[in-house]
Amino acid sequence: MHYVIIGNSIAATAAIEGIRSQDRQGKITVISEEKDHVYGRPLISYWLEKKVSEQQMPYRDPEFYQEQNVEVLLGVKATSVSFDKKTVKLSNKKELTYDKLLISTGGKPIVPPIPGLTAKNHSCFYNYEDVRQLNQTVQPGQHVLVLGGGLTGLKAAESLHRLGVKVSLIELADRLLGTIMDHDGSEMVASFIKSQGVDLYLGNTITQINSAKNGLSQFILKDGTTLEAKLLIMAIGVTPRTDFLKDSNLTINRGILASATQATNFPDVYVAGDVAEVPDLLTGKTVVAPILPNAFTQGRIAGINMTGGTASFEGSLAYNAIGFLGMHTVSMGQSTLETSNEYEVLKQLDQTKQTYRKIVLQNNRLIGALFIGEIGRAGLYQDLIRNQVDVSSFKDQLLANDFKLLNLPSTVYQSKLAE
Amino acid sequence: MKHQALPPEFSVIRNEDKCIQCQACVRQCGFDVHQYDAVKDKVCANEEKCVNCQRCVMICPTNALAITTNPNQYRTNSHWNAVHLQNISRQAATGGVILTGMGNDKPMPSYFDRILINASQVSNPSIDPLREPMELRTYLGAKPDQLKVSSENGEIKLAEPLSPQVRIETPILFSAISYGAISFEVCETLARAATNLGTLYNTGEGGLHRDLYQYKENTIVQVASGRYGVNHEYLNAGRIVEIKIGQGAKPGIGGHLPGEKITKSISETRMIPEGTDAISPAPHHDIYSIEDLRQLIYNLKEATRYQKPVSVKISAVHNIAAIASGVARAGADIIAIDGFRGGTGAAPMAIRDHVGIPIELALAVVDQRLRDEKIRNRVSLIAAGGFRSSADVIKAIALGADAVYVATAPLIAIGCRLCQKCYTGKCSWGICTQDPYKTKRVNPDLAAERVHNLIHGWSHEIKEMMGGMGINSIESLRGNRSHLQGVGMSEKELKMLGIKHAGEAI
Amino acid sequence: MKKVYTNPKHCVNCHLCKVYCVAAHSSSKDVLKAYKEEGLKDTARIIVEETKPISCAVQCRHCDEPKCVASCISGAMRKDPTTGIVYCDTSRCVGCLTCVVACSHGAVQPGPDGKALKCDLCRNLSEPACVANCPNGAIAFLEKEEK
Repeated sequence: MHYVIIGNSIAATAAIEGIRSQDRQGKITVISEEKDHVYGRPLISYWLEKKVSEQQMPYRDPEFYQEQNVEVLLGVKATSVSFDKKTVKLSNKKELTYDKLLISTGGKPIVPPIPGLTAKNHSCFYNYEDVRQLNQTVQPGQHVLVLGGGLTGLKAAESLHRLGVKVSLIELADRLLGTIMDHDGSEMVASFIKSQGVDLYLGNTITQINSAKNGLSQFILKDGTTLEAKLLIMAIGVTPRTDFLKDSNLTINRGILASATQATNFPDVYVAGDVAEVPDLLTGKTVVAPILPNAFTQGRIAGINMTGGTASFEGSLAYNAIGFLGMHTVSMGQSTLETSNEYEVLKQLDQTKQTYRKIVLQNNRLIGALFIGEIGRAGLYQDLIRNQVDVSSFKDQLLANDFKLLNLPSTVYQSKLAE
Repeated sequence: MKHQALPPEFSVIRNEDKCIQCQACVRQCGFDVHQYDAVKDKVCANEEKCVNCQRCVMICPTNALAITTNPNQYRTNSHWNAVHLQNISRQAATGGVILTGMGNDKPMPSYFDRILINASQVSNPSIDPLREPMELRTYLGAKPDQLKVSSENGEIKLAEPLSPQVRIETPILFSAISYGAISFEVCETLARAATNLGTLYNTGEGGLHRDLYQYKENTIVQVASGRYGVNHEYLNAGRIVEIKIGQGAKPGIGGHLPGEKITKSISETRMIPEGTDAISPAPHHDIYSIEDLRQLIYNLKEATRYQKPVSVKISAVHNIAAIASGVARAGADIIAIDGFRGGTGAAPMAIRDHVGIPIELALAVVDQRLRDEKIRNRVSLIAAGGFRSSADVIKAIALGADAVYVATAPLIAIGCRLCQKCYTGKCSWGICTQDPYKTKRVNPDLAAERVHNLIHGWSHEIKEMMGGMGINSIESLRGNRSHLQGVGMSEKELKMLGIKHAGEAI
Repeated sequence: MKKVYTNPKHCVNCHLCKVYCVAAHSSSKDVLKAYKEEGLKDTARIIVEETKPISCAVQCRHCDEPKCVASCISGAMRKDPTTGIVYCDTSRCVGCLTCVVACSHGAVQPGPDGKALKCDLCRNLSEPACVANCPNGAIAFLEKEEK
């Protein structure tokens, strides 16, 4: 049995562990375009601000591939796949034959066509190599622009700020973190970040880049503001990395369509992680949900199923726990919704303590939650969403900052304690 | 009138070098003594509320706590002592009765402490209970004046049926404590311990909870003046039916369980409305004579088809020998005599500390009187009231008891530290309370094992002492006063106890 | 695998499990030193919940497919393949706290150092400290089938 895995990030690692939990013998080959041992992609901002060392970057022990009996082809790219012949063509001109194939190529950063954009005046904030380069080019005291007020943009801004770099964050929408926060949450994060010394340009974007003196560039914003900076960091999102498959008959919408078992429309071909399109836990509609826990879970399920197992993915529930300069935030599910005929929203906002707790309910069932400041035991809410627990009997407890298992109906908490 | 306020009885000494602010004391104190000050990150104490129950001392993980008597005491006066001064002040403020709990704590003479046990030497060698059989098994119930036997085809049989007999494997039973006075968990603990030990526990006057019917083979069901929870099924559930006439801690008065303790479960068990006071009258309103008592005894025998011995529990009072004789003649199979050191959940302090007589004297005179009247065989005698050790038990048996009742000792095994605040319902140990936050502090799994261990240990010691006397059966010790001698007692006392002075030839 | 189970019927809300948990994870292994010298207050890996009169100690269930492990961005959160114990290698934890959001029992908490704090079943002891020191036998270390 030959398992071939394209990609070497979290989904791939989980797939290796999934395969090895069932099959110690089969051959596993991993094709890794990056030259690094597997690392958690979100760690790059921690590495840049020197909170994490080179040695701490690997996601698994240095002996991992050896222990798991995996052949890793580092710095090698898959250029195409023949699903009929069950072969993968590689950038080193070689070809691999697979019995089972996992596509876990992740995403790639979106780079919009801004007039004047060159390889020199911008960088992405996506992989280890990106931050290695940034570490070389950017010095404390310099000015850097970050385009995109999402999670990546904010983490980039945070790490650069902590390095002593002057950061200006530009976001096209009128608020930060628009996909996971409502207006109140965005406001709280924005005012905190501003108070920490990061400049924000909301409802704005870059329309033109010109070169300026001393290796700097001049960035002209939509509203006419002109900023001089060393570099622009592009952080407006990622898109599934499927280019090498575009001539195949693999079903690709936004991402590669996956069944609940992580199978694709071709036999023996599986997909997992940011490149996959999977059903949303709550709506059932297929989505690309590029968050790390999904990648791990899907990878592990794919791995188990590649050995003939029968694991299945319960559906994607997006959740994030992100700290920005010491302010902790948690979002899960449909956290941006406001009260309407369909949804009931419970909120508790404390400006002085800078805490915010918000619960989104539909038919007395949680479908989303948002927390800023106090995030302890947030997992309990995730479980309520996952299991669609009827909360009517304890709704008044939901916002309490000591919400606990014992607030749940006794049959529910007793069965949880007995797990 | 602040100047009339009482100084705290106890001082809470907290070693700040050892206190880690874990607040276990705060959460465990039933009397809200310990409080956490979040601003100072310190635990402090409101000493006025402290009853010295020692729960905090036990729970503190760093031994940072000690409770002592408040050094700021009243001026020393051997007549007007602190208790009198405090009680007078309290009554001056409230006009009420001073209540207390558990047994008489006054320094009255303890005859057990003045009685010494015999041991064999050369001519009558002692027996090693680890090598030879040693019998503690006891049968409770009336024994016939003569045993009539008949022979049929060479087989010897009893010619007449015996009165019902109840076998216990050790002569120690658990005395009556009602569900309501104590928590369900403690009732369950005693029931399970009794079952494992092969002895009996006693429901007290609070009825029998549905969930405890499974232990009925080891249950004495009590019928008291309030008749709580008494019905046909209840009477037939127990091995023995006991009529409670009196209680050693409060002879002559009844009981009062306040309405706030009458939870749903207790109301169902007692068959009274939830939240109403459960008042046990001082007398049984249908007993005003020995004849009336006889009627109740026989009513109960009828109700249980003469299958269960009927016990009558009386307090040890001045004319106890004559009373016991009357009770035996009224048809009781067992007489339980409760001495003045017996415990209670609530009693007026004046009564607990001043009414009744010591069990040692009461037992001795009752045993003697029944022997003199040749009716000793008609009843089993159970002695009760303050048995602290196996030595107390063995002395009682040699004085004439068939068995003893203990309750304070097993409660101490469960956790009780005799703070005497049972009547408040706030018991920090979860014993004498119905507060579900506290009752769970008694885990019947652990508590039943501790009570079992205690009685097992006592039983073993009794065997050792019997062996030392050269006796291998508890039957041979019963009423065998030649194995006891007294020290420091007057002629009169020795005569009442029926024992000789230490050193006198047997 | 053996796990820690708490019976709310017997939990008396004393929080001693937390105290001994802290001590068991200290370098001195001593309650007083852990609190007074090592400054480990608030580092208990067990949570005592209370809604009067009920209280209950809650800790990690060491799930078969642990969501905290799936959500860990640094690889600090692991499930030991031999013992089944889910533990956090704090030298690798970056304190993103995604595991806190992932845990369906709320059993992973942010520690005072900002890193994930969770039960490791006292990997180096024969019996977890919370079990050994519960004064009321409310916490037991059992195979699920023994429950």
